[in-house]
Amino acid sequence: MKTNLFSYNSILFTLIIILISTITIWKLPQTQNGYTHIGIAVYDMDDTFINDYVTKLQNKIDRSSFSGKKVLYEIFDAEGNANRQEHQLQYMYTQNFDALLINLVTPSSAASVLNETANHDIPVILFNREADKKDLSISKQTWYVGTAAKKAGAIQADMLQNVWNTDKINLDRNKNNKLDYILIEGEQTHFDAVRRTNGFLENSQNLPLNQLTNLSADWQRNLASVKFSKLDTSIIQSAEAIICNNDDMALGVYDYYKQHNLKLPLILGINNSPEMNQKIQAGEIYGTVDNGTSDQISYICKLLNDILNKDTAKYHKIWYSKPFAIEK
Amino acid sequence: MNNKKLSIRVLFPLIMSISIVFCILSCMILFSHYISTYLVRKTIEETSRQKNVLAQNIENEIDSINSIMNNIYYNTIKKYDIQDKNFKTILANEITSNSETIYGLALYDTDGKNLWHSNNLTSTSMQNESWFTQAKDNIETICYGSKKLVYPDNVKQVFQISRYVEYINHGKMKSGVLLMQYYTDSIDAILEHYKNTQNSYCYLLDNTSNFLYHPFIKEISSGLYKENTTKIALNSTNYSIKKLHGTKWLIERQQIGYTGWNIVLVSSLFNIHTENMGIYYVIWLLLLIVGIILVFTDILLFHDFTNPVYQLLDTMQEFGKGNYEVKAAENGIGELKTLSAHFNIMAEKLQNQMGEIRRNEREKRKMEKKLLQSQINPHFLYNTLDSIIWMIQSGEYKGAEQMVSSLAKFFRISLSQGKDIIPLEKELEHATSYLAIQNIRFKDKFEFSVQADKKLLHYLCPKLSIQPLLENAIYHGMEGVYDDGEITISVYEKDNLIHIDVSDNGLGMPEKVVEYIMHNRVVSSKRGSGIGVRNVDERIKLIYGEQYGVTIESELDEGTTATIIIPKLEETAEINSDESNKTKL
Repeated sequence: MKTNLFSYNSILFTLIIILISTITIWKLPQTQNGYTHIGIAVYDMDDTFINDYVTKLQNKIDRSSFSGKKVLYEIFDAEGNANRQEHQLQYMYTQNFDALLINLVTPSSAASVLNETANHDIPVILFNREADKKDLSISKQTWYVGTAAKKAGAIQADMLQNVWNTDKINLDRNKNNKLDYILIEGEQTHFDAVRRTNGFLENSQNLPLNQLTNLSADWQRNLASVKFSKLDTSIIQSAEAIICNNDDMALGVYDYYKQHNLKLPLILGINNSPEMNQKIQAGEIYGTVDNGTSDQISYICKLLNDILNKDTAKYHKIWYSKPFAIEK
Repeated sequence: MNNKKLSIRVLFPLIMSISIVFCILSCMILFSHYISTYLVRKTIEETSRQKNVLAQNIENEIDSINSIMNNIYYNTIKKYDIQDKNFKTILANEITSNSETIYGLALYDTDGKNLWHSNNLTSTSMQNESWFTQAKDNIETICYGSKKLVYPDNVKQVFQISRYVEYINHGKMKSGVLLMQYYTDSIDAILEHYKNTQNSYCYLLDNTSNFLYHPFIKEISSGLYKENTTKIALNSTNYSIKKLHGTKWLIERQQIGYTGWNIVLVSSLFNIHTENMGIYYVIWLLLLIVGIILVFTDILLFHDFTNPVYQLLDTMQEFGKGNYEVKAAENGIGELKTLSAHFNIMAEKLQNQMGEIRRNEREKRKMEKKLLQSQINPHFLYNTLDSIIWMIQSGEYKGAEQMVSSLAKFFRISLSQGKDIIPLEKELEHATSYLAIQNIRFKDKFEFSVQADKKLLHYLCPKLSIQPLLENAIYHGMEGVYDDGEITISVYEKDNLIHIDVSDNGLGMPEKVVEYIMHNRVVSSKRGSGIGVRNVDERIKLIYGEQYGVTIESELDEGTTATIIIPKLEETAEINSDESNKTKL
């Protein structure tokens, strides 16, 4: 009888031990490793600006430590395809990333993305391609880091005004007392394209501007070159200034002029890409606007650090870097 | 005892049944709770799935509206100078090709002055319209303004969708606002797909919390219905459950991208419980059946447990009363069976031991009896021999001869080759020779006679059973009687039993003396055989059974009669009984 009791007790004891250990294993938080995982969704790595931007971001992240932790990041390149990005994002929601950096292909789809991240409670930093303010309010854990695009456009206008004021003789080639220009815009509906143009427009009211034509080249160098070449030669010949929403398209136009051995008009870009900068220093292109990309990257890292420390109270939803003019 | 019975037979099943009932009830409550949370969770999931679908569909519709708007802007307004002929024709074409969805188009400058409008719109200034200021303030996006009734007769409504644009006028790029009036039908159609009942419906709010769509909009505008969930919906992040009008409501909200609209799905949680009552009933019934089965098995099991115990208890009581033959039924489970088996083993051992004790006792008695039989008082012999000597000396040879022959007969029968039981004839001879000796010794102080039924003489009788009674009669009965004493031995059959009466006509004995003689080991005389009346009684009882034995009836001054009652046993039977006795022992 005594041995029976003993064996019953031991069986009961083992059962309880098994139960407790299962519960503990179940309840135990997943072992914390020393890494922070970040997912970076990129709209298109073929875009030179984005490529440059992401490379700088990678360097910055690699060099900084986030409250003593190393950051492991994974980059998802959507190659400009919204569907591909949707698939990548669906995957990212499930990967227990500590934060997501998202460069949306279609900013108009921000609402569905932010609804998802709000449901999964993942902090999101949107960059480069801005979404509507109303959409940003969907998730509390969402921030946008970009540039004051309108200001960049305004700076372009200022530069043009400056040239008009100081060097009108050279600028007004056909002496019609008007500044004949071609406007090359970035991607249609892109916030930055709209704002840059708007900034340029509003700040150039005092200039006797005559828009010969405008075209949209999707931020791309090749497309700009091709679209430009399809314009009437009369328009190209009478063009005294080419105002571009970014450097790549400006370089596309530059390429056209170089190919056809034509005299370069006044070209203005935005972004201050290395090649552009080099052309400016060589005196071939008049100027560009630096978006303060490195400020944006620093800001992203600072924000990321505070997100990981859950200390984001002082951050506004939207942050713009300050652009500045680059000319020789 | 009764209390214990109650506690084991009733208390245990009672406690178990109560625990089972308690467990089943807890299970019922837990199950109900689990199911209700499960159902609520499922409803939330289902509703949010539908919400997502609706939101997605609306977003798709918004996307297509946006693309129409952008198409008009980028491909026409931005491309052509408004002074260009193409400008107007292309815009007019745009409207006619989209006449199903677009009601009207108009372009305004930043001061609200109309630059161009489609036929069904007027050229009034729109400076103060909200959609106008909104578009001017938000240059990047397309603004979705309030609804407007455009076909009063047809009750058709349009969204006033506006956008900041840049147009070219005489080569100069200018800012302006484009207005597109878009029929609400496509969005309404999406929302009407949802089952809109009083218990479950959806509605659409614009960014200033006005209804863009509500299934009961007519009732609301006429004051018959009031939507109370708007505030709750806008304050909750994903969904919330609130109690309104006595029932719980699930309110789910999702913001529609780009527009800042909110779609709200409202459904009553009261319905999901009533709709799924069947599940509750099935589970409750199942649990009830399980509970009943458990209680029954519990009672049966306890019955099975306790029954053998009570059977054993009964057996033990029976055993305690002296019925050593009873055996416990060896049924029951496990230890209970062994318990009965062990009880049986114990009972058997006890029985064996008792038998042995009894056998020993019998042996002892027998030894004692043998001893008594052989203990013929030597005084009797000395006295008789003295009497013979005295008779020879006084020349009474005849008397002496008679005495010696009597003595010889007496001793022969006393010994009887060691037999315990002898024929009645021999016993009577023995008694006669004893009486003859005593008569000579007491000098014919008494007369004696023997009357025996000749038919009974061959029956058996325990040896030395009459002599002690005679001795008793001589020493107690004849005391103080002179010359006319009489002792009679009569053997007769009565009720198929042999009766041997030894009666005297002496003084008789008081009751006390009779009692004393019957219950104490006394011998009537030191000179006698030394065998008491009680001894005779005991021997007869030992040999034949309790119903036989010696009785003494005495009346003062009348005489005493001692009667031996024995069964009729013949010589052959004597051997049998002896053998049966032996086998018994």
